[in-house]
Amino acid sequence: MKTFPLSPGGAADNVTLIDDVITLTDLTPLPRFGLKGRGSAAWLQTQGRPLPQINQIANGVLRLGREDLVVVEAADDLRAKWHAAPSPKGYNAWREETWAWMHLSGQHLGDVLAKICPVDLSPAAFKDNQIAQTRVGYLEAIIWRHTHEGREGFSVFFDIAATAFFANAVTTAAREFSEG
Amino acid sequence: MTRLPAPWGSRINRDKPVSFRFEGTKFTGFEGDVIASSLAANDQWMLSRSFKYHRPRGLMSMAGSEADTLVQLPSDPNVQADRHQISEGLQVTAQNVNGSLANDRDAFMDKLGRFMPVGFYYRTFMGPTRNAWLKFWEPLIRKKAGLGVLNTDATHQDYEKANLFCDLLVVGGGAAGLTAAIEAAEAGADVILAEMEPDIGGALTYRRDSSDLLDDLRTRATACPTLRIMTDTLVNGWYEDNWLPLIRGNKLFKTRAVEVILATGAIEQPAVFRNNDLPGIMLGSAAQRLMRHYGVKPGNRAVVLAANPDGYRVALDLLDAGVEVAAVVDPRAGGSGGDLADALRRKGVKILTGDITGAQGKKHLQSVTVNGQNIPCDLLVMSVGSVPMWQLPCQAGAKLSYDQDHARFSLTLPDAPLHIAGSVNGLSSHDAVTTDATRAAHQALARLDLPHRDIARVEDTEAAFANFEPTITAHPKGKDFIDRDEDIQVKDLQNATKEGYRELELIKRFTTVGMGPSQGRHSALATARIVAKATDRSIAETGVTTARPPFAPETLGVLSGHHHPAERRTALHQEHLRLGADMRPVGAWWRPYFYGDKTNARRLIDEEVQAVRENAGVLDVSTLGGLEVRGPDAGEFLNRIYTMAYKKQPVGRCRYCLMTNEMGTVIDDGVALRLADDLYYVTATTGAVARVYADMLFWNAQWQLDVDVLNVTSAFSGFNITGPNARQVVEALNSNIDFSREGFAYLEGREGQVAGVPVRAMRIGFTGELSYELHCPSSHALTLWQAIMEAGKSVNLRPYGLEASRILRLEKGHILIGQDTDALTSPDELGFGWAVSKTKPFFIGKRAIEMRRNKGLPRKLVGLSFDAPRDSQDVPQESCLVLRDNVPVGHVTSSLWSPTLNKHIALAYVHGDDSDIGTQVTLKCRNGKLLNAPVEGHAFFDPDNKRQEV
Repeated sequence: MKTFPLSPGGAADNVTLIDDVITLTDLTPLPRFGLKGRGSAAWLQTQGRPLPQINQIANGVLRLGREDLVVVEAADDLRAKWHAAPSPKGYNAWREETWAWMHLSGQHLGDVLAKICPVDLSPAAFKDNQIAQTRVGYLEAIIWRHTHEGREGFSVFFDIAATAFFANAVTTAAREFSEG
Repeated sequence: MTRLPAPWGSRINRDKPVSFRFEGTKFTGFEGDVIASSLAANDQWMLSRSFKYHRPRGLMSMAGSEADTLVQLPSDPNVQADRHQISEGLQVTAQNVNGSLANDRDAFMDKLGRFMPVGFYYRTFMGPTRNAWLKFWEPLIRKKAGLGVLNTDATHQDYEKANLFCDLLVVGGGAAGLTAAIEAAEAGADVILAEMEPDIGGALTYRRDSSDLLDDLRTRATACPTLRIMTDTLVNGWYEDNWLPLIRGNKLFKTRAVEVILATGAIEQPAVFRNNDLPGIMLGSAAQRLMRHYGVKPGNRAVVLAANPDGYRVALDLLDAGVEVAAVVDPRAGGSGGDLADALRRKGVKILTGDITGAQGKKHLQSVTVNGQNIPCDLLVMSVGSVPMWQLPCQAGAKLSYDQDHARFSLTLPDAPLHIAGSVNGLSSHDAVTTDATRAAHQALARLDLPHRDIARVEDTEAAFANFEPTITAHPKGKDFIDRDEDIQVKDLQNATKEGYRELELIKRFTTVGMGPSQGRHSALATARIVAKATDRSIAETGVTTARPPFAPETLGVLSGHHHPAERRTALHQEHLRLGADMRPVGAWWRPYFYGDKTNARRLIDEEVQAVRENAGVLDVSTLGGLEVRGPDAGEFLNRIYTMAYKKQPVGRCRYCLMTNEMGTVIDDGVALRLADDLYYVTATTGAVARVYADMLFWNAQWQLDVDVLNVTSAFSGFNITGPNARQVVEALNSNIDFSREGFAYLEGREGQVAGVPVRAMRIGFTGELSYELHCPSSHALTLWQAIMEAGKSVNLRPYGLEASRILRLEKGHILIGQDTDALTSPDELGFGWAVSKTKPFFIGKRAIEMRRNKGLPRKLVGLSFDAPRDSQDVPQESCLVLRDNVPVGHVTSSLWSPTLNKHIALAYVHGDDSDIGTQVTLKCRNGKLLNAPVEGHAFFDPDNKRQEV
């Protein structure tokens, strides 16, 4: 059985995610499959997946580099095909193990993100399907605009070992807005 | 009380009295009052004592631009009394006084000025004896120096940081800034307007005949949806690419603007005459701020020194406020106030042509000398000219020049997304200022590709009269201050030029002019005039000193923001807590130091060591760096990165990795397990993995090998099961891996399943015992750990922590990179020649290692042990020196008590000639005692390494 940081017994299971002026939702257990290195892009294209430009997300594929891609949806079948395929096909990027995945939404989303991310994430400057590889919550992170279960916001990938740190950093950043 | 009736006092709420204390005395002001205004309203004009001579000082600018208004709050020193609002119960005290403000025991210093000319520091503090500086002057100066007292027990405050972005940042919310911001916002630009005052309007909020324009601009501003107005916000510098720090209270806004308009205004300059620093002498704008912002009558009988139209307007304001104006003195030859002067005359005010040469009074102004005549007064206001607020423009690359005809500085901008507007651009009249601002806005709009138009300049009807060139002559009795912060007088600057100093940057450092909190805001122009005259140059040639950020003082808290020490947790964090671990930070990671009752740490750590030596223990090694190096050239890549050979390493074998840099210095170590022809799983030290990963990416980009490198540190967790009974534990696991001695030899590696978890198993360890290290994807770590603990029940497997691990490794003499190595350590100094390939054509550091080897061995890491009792102080601890002929030649890098061997053991660098086993070396303990010990090998326990290979 898999245990993620916010699962019972997980490294951060004593951490409460903020659900106040901003809502932090843990998506870490959601499936994803990353490929990196020579052959990654070509192999994914052979699977009928059109690839977006670098720092874009489209068709469920998040592209971080020429040969650095992440399929952010259920990918068991794809994974099995990849294991069975001959090289070159890229290499496993272990994105489901290296990254925590959080979604941020809420009333003070812009205010809080302005405190924890140096990128201009306003709708005019940061369009749908655009990705920033930057720092969020004092961590190296990948952020993109993403509506989850009807909540407009942003998804963030970051070091899974820093899950508690990230959650606490967001809560601290939001405090001034909670206090009015 | 000297309060004026409404509508004077736009910033105060007369319905809300506020009480506070200054120097122990209770005062009452109103909500919205600043400390200085509420004190002035209570006829308390003296706020501080001057820095050097302890002269009485009061407010001069009411704009927070001089040191004289700095006061002490319980938790904050150097608070600007003319900008800090009062609050109920606030406790305020004066700074730089010995005793009290009213009775300063150091006031006698005022009489000693002649003995303290500029530069006397440099001469006096050299003697009279060789160590006089250390023994006498330094303690004395330390006692006297500084403004205010830092409260080291201050309560915690939150400091925030945020990022802001905009099309256009307008700095300054006066007529120019507001106009520019509104113009740009109305054209569709996303605009931020930053204003340091609590309300927008700038000089319009206190200048005579400005209310109509102010009302109009405020109305238009509120109708602009894309205009964000930030009041109480200080723009404290300009940095490359239009990055500007905006500070509001405890929050720093890191602002990136596409275009910037600096509408920073101008700052009035004081006149120079004897005793020009007495309380009761202030700038015209200060008197207007007191009246219009705070409803405070600045005096009862005033003399106005007016060298421009604003001076005449101030005089009219004073009359309106019920202040008797004894005279208006205009120093301009043939100077005339025009219609404004006529209006004053009609009200019975004398207009004199002449100059003020002195002021009289002890703690407050009593009279001024005009054309040789003393005029009694308790208020002197000065409107004699201004300088543009050039600090931000100059930081942004603008050049400052001097216009001799108009006696003013002017700015020339670089070709950049930067504009200036309004009085900082040398303009005075409302029409000229707002037109200039409109022009700047449309220039910015053009660069932003937004609708714009060309704006023609209009004639400034007042610019020609705004400034004049006074003749500054040193008063024979001095006390004609140029820089009030530093008590610099006219003669001080003249004497500096006589000493041979000509350049302002040097004069600044010799005299300290401009080095106080006001940073030359009120002294730069006068200094330039004096130095230019004394060195027979023009002011343009003399110039001013460099303006650097920050514009105004800023707190360290604002720069720091929230303190967020990095925190990383292994997948077993909660499990360790459940097992009673004492968790401690190791770099960013939290790791178990030991398990159990914190009061029994020593015993528990000894037991953990004993468990490993005699039975079996398990350590969470998940913090170890993990890297995957994969691709057809992976072996070649590792061959170049590390000192040993990997290209021919068999699949399923582990090999030690030693990494050196181009200097041949050891920078990391680890183990590489070859999992497939094109896949290596490489460990790195916890603290260095990020650097190793970055280095690998760098070299991969250089070499262009067919290799991909991935940092999988967080992706994989690892547990080291170690001890004589470790095999019993792993063999009890539900696994498809053959853990038997025959099936899994020392330094071999396998992939397989344990308890349904995919694992990478290696027969490696750090303890010198039989060890198996199981790594798995971190999401399976808890399952694997629980399986290990269950399998270990039969042998009473014990989890152990970091301290036991440190002892176990030292008993075996294993090094810790960063602790037992430093920035110069070579493999030879560690005795690691065996780990350096002699046959490979290249690896990073190879050439340097060979060159260093040819130079001989300057030092070597050796083992040392000491038979002193465990708690003895007569044992060298980490960093204690190794001496040779009483000269330091090395130091102790690791020192611990070995519970296995019952003695102290250590690793230390000794001189290269002393590194043979048995050589006696001398060490110096922390208590100063010298100790001799024979050199030993690194491994104190099981030196033949039999136990790990069973």
